[in-house]
Amino acid sequence: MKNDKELNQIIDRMIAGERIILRPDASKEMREKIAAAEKLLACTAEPTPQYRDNLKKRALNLLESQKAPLVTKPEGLRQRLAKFFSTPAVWRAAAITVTVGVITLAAVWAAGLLPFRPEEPPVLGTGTPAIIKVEPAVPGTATFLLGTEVKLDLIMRNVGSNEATIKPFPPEIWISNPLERLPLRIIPAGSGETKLTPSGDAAFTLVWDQRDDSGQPVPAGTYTVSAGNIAVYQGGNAEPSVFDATSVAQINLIPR
Amino acid sequence: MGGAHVGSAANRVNVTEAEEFARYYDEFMPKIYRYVFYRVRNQQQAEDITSETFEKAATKYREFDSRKASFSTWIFTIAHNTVIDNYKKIQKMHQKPLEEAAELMSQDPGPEEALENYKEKKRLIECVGMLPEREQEIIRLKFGARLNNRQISKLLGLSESNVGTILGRSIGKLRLNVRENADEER
Repeated sequence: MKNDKELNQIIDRMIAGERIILRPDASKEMREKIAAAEKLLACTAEPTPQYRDNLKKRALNLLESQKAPLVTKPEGLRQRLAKFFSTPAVWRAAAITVTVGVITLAAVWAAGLLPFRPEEPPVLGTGTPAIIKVEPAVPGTATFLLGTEVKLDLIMRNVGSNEATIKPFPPEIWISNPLERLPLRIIPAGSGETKLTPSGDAAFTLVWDQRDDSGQPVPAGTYTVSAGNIAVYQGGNAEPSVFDATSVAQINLIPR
Repeated sequence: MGGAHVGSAANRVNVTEAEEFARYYDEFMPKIYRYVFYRVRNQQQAEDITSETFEKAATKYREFDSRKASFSTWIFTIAHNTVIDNYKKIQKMHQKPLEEAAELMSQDPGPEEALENYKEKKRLIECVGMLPEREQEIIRLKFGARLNNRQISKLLGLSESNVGTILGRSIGKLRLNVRENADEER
């Protein structure tokens, strides 16, 4: 404890630029720790002056561009109606026709009278239509005792309309604590691949020893399972669509 | 904060506000850069993330309230979150940057010392990467950002004495790990 205090004081003096001369009776351990600290201080790089100046200019410009918005009173319904009725009759007729058409279409669609419905919103993906969904075989949060091996059956489903080849399979899995955002464990992807017909699925099992990437056991709590880096080839395309990690399941670890 | 205004009435940038931000920038930019570099070990990525951090800070500067948190806590939280947002890219970069990082850090490439320096720094970086995440973060904040233990304790929600103890323990582990690695190489 006393050594830690002394070491911390010496490190602060080193950071302040002081040249450290150790007492002759300083222990070998302390000398080695100081040497390690010196190397740690040297283990970094400085920004170049040009980069420093450019970023400063950019940041200050950004600061200045954050103008306070001009406060203008929002237009009232009366003004908007007055403006609308002052426009030419042909535009008024067109606007009314379009509005009535949209409302009618929405009502018919809502009543389920249309032969088609839009596809479900994307499950995994970044702007491309949903084609792959990963979900637990048993819906809901999976609960395990703390310290036991987690085995969670997951299902990857093709929710698109084309046959899709998935690489890699099983996909890379991230386990994270929702409070910390940072994935605490990344379970690497398998080396295989799988073909999924439309509505077809493939099952795989996540096995997790309840440890983080540094090998430390994780505490009790709820953890998010995400699957990512999934390359999906379809329709003979050489270029796959790659999906990022997305939350697919929750795991709850409870004390024994 | 009652200084003169720059530009029109709508452009309410206060001279003292810009000056204040510039002062913070001068003080914290090198700290943030070194902290990020310690984490990503790649010059280009360190520049990108530092830029993103200060661009976010400039955009949100009016939301910063020094009564709630110090600028140090505020800017390091932004930097920390920006690193996490770029986590995936960083993981990919980590497959190759150790050599690049050690070369960049060699500022005194003497003829014989250069190789040994390079090897030592490479070993040290590898050993830091083997510590638990919290210890790594304390090392980065101490030796990269060069923050004092009080500032680190506020950032990580630990007591100041706890930071000192963890730091001492981490350096102790590094010392042993580096020695073991060096013995294995020989």
